[in-house]
Amino acid sequence: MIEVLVVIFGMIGFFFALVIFHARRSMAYIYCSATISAWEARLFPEARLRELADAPGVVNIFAALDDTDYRQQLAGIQREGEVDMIEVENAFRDNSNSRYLEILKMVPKERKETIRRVLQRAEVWDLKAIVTAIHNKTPKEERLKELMPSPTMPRERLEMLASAENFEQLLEFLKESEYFSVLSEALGEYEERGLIPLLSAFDRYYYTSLWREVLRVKAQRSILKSLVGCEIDIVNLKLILRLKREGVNPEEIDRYLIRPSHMLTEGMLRAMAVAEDIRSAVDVVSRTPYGKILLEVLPQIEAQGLSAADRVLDEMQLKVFRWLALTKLFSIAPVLSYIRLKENEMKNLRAIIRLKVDKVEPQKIKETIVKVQKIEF
Amino acid sequence: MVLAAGLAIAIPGIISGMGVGIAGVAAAAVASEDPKKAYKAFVFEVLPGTQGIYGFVAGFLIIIGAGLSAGAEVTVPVGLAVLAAAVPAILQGFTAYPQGLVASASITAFAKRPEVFAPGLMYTVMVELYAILGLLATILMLTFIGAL
Amino acid sequence: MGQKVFVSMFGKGERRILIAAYRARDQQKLLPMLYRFEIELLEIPRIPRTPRKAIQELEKQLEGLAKERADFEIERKKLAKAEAREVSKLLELLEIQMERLGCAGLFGFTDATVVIEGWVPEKADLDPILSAATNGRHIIRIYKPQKVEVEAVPIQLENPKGVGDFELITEMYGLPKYDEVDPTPFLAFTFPLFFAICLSDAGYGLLLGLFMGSGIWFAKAFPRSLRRMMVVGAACTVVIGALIGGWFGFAPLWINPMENPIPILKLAVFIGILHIIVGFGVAAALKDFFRRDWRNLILNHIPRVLVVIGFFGLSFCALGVSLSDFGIDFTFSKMNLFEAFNPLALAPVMVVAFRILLYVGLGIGITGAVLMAKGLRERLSGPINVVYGITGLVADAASYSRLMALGIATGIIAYAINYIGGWLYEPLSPPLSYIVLVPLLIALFAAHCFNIFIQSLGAFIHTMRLHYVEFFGKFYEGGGEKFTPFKAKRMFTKVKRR
Repeated sequence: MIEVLVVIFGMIGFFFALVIFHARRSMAYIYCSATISAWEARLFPEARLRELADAPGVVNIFAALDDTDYRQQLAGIQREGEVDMIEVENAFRDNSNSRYLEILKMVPKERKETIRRVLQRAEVWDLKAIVTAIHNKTPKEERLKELMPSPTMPRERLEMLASAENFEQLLEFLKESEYFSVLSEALGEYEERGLIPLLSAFDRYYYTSLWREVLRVKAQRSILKSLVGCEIDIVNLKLILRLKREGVNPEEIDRYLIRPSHMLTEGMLRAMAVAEDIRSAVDVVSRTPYGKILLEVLPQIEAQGLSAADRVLDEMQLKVFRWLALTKLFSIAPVLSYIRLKENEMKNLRAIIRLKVDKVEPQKIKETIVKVQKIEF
Repeated sequence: MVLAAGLAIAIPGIISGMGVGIAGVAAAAVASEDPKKAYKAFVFEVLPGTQGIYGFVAGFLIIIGAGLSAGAEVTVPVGLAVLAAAVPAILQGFTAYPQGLVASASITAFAKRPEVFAPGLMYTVMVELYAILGLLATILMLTFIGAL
Repeated sequence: MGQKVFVSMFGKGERRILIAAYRARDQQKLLPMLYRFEIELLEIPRIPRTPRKAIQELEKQLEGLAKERADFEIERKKLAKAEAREVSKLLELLEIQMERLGCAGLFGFTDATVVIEGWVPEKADLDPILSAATNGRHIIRIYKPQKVEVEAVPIQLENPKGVGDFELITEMYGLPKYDEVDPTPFLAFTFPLFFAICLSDAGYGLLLGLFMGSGIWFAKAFPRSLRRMMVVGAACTVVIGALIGGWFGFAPLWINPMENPIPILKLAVFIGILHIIVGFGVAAALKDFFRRDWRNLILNHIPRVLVVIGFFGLSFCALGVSLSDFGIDFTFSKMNLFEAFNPLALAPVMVVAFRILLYVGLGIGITGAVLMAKGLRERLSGPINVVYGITGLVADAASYSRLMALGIATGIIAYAINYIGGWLYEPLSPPLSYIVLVPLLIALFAAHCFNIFIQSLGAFIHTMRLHYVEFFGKFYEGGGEKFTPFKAKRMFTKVKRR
């Protein structure tokens, strides 16, 4: 009698525990992924981008964009004659920022901070622009134009930072923000070796702080690790290849690399840094997935320059993100994947409009479109 | 026996609630972005609810079949047998949760590409067979025990 | 600087209002500090009035604006009423024009001739139309699709009227290829039947049929063909429900599934096995016939039918299934499970016949698999798959048991609704009972409607699944493209013929 009851209740309890365990992990992300999936339906498919590239003029492109979510932000933009590219770009940014802010509201609490860190990219970009402007002594009005709207930092604060006369004042403005120590440490190096270490310091700070944030909480850690890790690896690879091409010495390269890397081991990075040329650098990582795709485009890299490598690496990253978003539907992956896709769309639209303004022929424009590759099973 | 009926109704009900809840969250998210798809997403949302209904059916069969409502005396062995027979109907409820997951995944896919509505429906219904078999097993067992 | 600045703070929560008063010339020094604490500046409009007055004035302005807005709205509606038809007509004409122009690029041109290439339904007669349009100066060449083109042929299904409605189901799965069998005629027969067994309540069928057949606006939300399909299904439900389900949960004619569900279970499984046999034996065989693929027919599909019949025959013998429930005096001769399948054991004639069917089917199937396989690996795996397919058959047959389970579920919930209603109503004495009667009936009706909704949704989807997975899986490939003729879509305009 009792045994039967115990067995039955045991089974019920076991299944309950299983369901609750699973539900706790994925429940929070279901709303997120469903909403984002609906948004993804509104992204431009490649065919649509090609159509835009075929349009007779910029005016037509804007008219086509009026039927989309971009309408609101593009409303106040001059469309004929001189198209102000910076304004267009800011309109695109504003559009995506409003989406990002919505995402930030939707994401479950445990990972809100992580997504905020990911979105800080624009902020870091702006800081780098300001630092460069101070270095070049660009007048303030010019600097303000360079700033792009960031989802995480209010415009006023950016403008204030941009109004800094020199590095000391910028440091003063940044006091008590997370960037204070980054800038103050890098300034020492700046005096010896110029602007680039300074910029690199911001980049490194962005990625290391993001990585720390990823590791901070247990929820979704493994997925985030592979996504952010992939991004860091690819940034490192691009960096090494570019610096190699420019013939920078190994210690210098080593200093700019972002640590810790994900799939590329410390040894690999060092070996790549000391490699003789691009070919032997790629050979070092030939066992990793990055190496395989880089080897394929090696002839193109040698003939046309690094843009081929950048393109395949970007496409690969998109693929990794989309793959995880598809297979781990109820997780943070679709969110990150959407952010990537949106950035990519923006990049494509910007390129199309800019090339259209310059009256480049449609066929050439089409070649520049970064494709979202189909995932084959 | 009351326990069997109660469990058969309650457990699938709870899990069905969770399944419908999950699918509902996804459906609401999609509807907020694209109201035209709301009604089709609703079809997905209803599906995980059937397990609750099956549970209720089994529970009701036990209540009626055993004359529980008429206040008949139930001996311990019969009661135990009925409880054992109710186990499939109780446990089938747990299929509502995965079905809810599949349903919300299908809603998500449907939001992205409206043409996958029918395949999504199929994926969701696939899970249900096992719930039906559970209910079936309970009904057959009840029949053979003679409690119907 | 402390004594030159006055600060006070209001409000609560994350964002507060801070007022800082200081001398104008200190602004440059102070601003960076304020920014450091992430303070945003509030731009206060310069209004040379007291705040109270300013607010009043602003409110007045706001009211005026709202009124203006409402006026605009009214004007907009007026405009819409007056011009909407005109605008939509023009839009439609423009769209048609655009499509025409877009299409022109697909044709071949010389100075004097145009070449138009396209698909045409087999029955269409182009000659008179073309003659009228070109005064007889044209050349047509029509030919049947070549073997290489079969994949690309767009499909238009052709079925008699009642059957045509069920094309919706086929379309949802994917249209057949040009050289395939259109499964719609099979569907038109089994779909309503399965639907009826799943719903299995005559009263529900009647209500559903009336609802779908009536033209009330709510029903019109469903596509036309779906509604007609449901009417057919509902009609079947009335018949089947009267036999094995009952009226709103009350007594059926033949068997009450709540007392004895076994006959209905048998019925469901028998129907399922018949369905499988039709899938292999008729539909798949027809496909082979269309493709002139005799090898596949003889070596693959016919042996499958034999295996199905033989296997289930033997299984029924092992179970000793009796058909007496259906009024047929016939019992499969009861045998031990192992003995029934053992080809050497002694057995009645019926069992031997089933054994012959099963083993001959298996034999041909295995040889067929070996003969048709390409490469060593397939030669090994093919025969194993043939034998393994038997487990698939068991699963398929079990899957049809859902017909019965869903039917019983409908019946029991209907019964439960009535039961609860009766339980509430019975103890009431006359004066009170008359008052309660009407609301109670309304409540009963609502509950039954809810049950109809849930159960017919379930019945529809499960029937669909039975067809897609169990039936189509046997023979159907699908993946044809729909034939969409090039024509102007006109809603607001019409072509006047002279």
